[in-house]
Amino acid sequence: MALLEVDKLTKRFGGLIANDQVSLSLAEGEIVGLIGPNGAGKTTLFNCIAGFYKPDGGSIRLNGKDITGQTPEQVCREGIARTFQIVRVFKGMTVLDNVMVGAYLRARSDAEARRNALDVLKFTGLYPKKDMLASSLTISDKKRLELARALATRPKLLMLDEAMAGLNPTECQEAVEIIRTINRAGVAILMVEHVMEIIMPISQRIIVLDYGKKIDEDIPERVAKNPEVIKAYLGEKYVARGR
Amino acid sequence: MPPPDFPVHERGNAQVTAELLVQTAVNGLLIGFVFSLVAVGLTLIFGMMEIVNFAHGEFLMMAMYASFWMWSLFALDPLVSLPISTLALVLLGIATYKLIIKRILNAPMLAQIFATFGLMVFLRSLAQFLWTPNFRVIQHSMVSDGRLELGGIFLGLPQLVAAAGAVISFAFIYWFVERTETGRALMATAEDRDAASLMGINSDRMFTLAWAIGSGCVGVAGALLSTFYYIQPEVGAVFGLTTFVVVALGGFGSIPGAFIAGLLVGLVQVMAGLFIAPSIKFAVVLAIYLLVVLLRPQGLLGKY
Amino acid sequence: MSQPQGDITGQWAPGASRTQPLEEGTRRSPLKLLALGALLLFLLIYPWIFTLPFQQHIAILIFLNALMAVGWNVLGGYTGQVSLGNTIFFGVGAYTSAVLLKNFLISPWGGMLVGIALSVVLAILVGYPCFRLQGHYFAIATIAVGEILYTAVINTQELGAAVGIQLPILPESWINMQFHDKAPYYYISLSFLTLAMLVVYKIERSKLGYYFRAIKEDQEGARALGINPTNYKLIAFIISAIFTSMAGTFYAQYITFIDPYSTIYLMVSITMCLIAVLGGLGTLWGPVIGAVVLIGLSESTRVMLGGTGTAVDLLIYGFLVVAVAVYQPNGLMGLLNSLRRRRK
Repeated sequence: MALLEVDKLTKRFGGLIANDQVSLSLAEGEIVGLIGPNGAGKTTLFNCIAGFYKPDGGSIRLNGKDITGQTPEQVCREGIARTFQIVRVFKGMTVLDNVMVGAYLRARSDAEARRNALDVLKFTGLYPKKDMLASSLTISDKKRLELARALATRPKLLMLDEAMAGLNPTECQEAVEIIRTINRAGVAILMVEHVMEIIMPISQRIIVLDYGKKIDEDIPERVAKNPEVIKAYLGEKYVARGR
Repeated sequence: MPPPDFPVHERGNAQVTAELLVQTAVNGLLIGFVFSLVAVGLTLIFGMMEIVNFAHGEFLMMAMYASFWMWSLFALDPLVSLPISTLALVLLGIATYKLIIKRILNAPMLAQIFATFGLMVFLRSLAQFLWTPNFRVIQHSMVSDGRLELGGIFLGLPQLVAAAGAVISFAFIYWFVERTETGRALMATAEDRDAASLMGINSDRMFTLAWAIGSGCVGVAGALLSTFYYIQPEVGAVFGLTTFVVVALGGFGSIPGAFIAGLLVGLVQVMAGLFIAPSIKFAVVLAIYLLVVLLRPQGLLGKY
Repeated sequence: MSQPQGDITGQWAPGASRTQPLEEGTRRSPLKLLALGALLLFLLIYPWIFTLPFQQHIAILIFLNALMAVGWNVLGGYTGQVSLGNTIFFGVGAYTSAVLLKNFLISPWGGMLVGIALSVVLAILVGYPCFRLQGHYFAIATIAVGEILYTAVINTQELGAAVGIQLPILPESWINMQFHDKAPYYYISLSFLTLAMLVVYKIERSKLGYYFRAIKEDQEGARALGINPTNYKLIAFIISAIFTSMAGTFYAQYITFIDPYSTIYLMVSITMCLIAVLGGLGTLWGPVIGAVVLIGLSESTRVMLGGTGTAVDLLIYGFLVVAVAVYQPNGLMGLLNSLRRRRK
């Protein structure tokens, strides 16, 4: 049984169809990339799965359990954690306190929460900064903190929304390493990304959205060559001729 | 705190005849127009910058006092001194914007709430300190004690003039916002601040303008009300809350909504007084707020 | 540790007013413990030193106001939900114990427990539908609830309507919570306040405290971490209601006369809120400092200006709150902390 099964998910905003019968599935421990031009409906899909939007049609199943339409806090408790497109951390709290908020979800005592939080901080390399105020971190560290916080909730699936935005190449590589490490620990990853050089090598599969519909799903090498995908990003005339 | 009893012909437990019903309804509409005027100021400010001015009622109270003192010290009829009251309030509004609001535009909601909230306490206490809690009344103004009769229905002259004044002011605002370039720039900024500034509209000036107009409305309303309402430091509290109800019912940010809602609230208020009891009028009005905000947050015409 | 330049949004969270992080920083320096011990000792022997009723009355007023502000702070300061209707709990506490005492001769202590129970129910009834409202709308809704309750009581003969309830004068005893001297009242109110502060102290360091702050900082982000905002806001509201209700019962017993104007009045809600804001939102000692300042202001203006002075304290207070909102969002506690940091 797949970890995540999204079946014909549809979301409308007034007359606009943001997600049009999108279906996808993820197995445990997989890393899947979600790409598509701006406005394709990637963040909307995330928000539907994570419970921030109520879908208008279709279903979402986690380990066979129907979680369609659940609230964000319920979805998190079921085992899906997410980061946001524009990084969100609790600015007035320290790094450690931020992660503790996440850790308290599964911890059964204050001490356990603290232990888990410190472990996650070490795991993501933020331990030296644990007493710093979140507002004083660099963008890259803020993203790392957001990641650590989500990780502290012990998710089965981690959804990353443009985790690389605003990072320089070195920071990107660091982020990729952390993501790989998280994945090796058994967490499935579904990530939206625009930086192709990052997402192609790391993903086992790529799903492409355009105008709310899924237009491809395949291994990265084949997706990169798919004329439909190229057309979606660059327009008709860039479709390679005879390649 | 229950409002000082509105000086209309209310008859508690007497039979509700058709005549009484119409009379009451008319009274409700008349005061409703004034509610609309006061509310349009608040809704304009909210539509522009999503800030609720908790001191809005106290602005009204200040305007009423301004009229009172000009009458008491210089024997100026409130209707004559209306432009001065209005100007005073415009200045108060601009000062409030520049000294306080501007600095908390980007602050978290808590800061915004406490800034205008503290101002409310400050103004109310200031009035009490300067002028004592005693109720004041303007007597023998141009319109006091006047009454018109139309087909068996009595219309108090001050109330009628106040309603007329409110309608005229409202019409002016509407014209200004729809037909003048500045007015439309104002609406554009309310709609989308960034897009408007990209088109060369200075947000700061628009915000100042919104506060000026919003407070000016209150100035006019205060002058009009002072001809027949008791003037005391707490009068702002009741009107302020009523205004919140009107704005919520009309839809936060909607000018036409404020107009309709003002009339509705005026009507409901007097009807509650007639059919249930005068002492619970205010509670009924507040219940409207709760119902609107819980069941239909966007109000009648709002963009919540 | 260098002070990071936080943006203004960071300044309103309780963490920013602390120089050290929550968990580790509570390694209380021996100096702090000594100061706390000295304060406690002083407070315990205060009635022996200051024997004039007036002096004890001031202290009781401070404790009472601080208790209400501590209660308000749990919902307002820590969780970031501004309630301007907490007077309803004060009123419920006062009226419940007063009515039970007057009509059924039930001890005020029992009356207090019943009052607390009713307040908790009221908190749930009001909170559950209203907490989905955003900031401003919620604040106004709480004002509306307060006014509606005021109207209800004013129109209810059994509760004394506008005239109020005169509590029966009973033989002096602890069961009756009535005394000739002020000293026992002093100790009762001090204990209530101490209890409330202990509870808040515990909460700060617990899951509740973290969740409250998370909701205040970023509600949607908190939801993504499994926190149900309404549930936790309700918990905060309930805690708030309990302390405020206790204060109400105490007030009824201390003053022996209650009416809607003194117990279910918007100004009561406003005062609690102002004290917490001025003292420092989301801090343990903020409400206490705020209460000391407010009562100090009230009394000194009353002495200086006679009867009409009652507005001057609020005048100054209102001004200070605006100043706090604009310049020093962390209140007096924040000011103290930044002074301490500068000295280091």
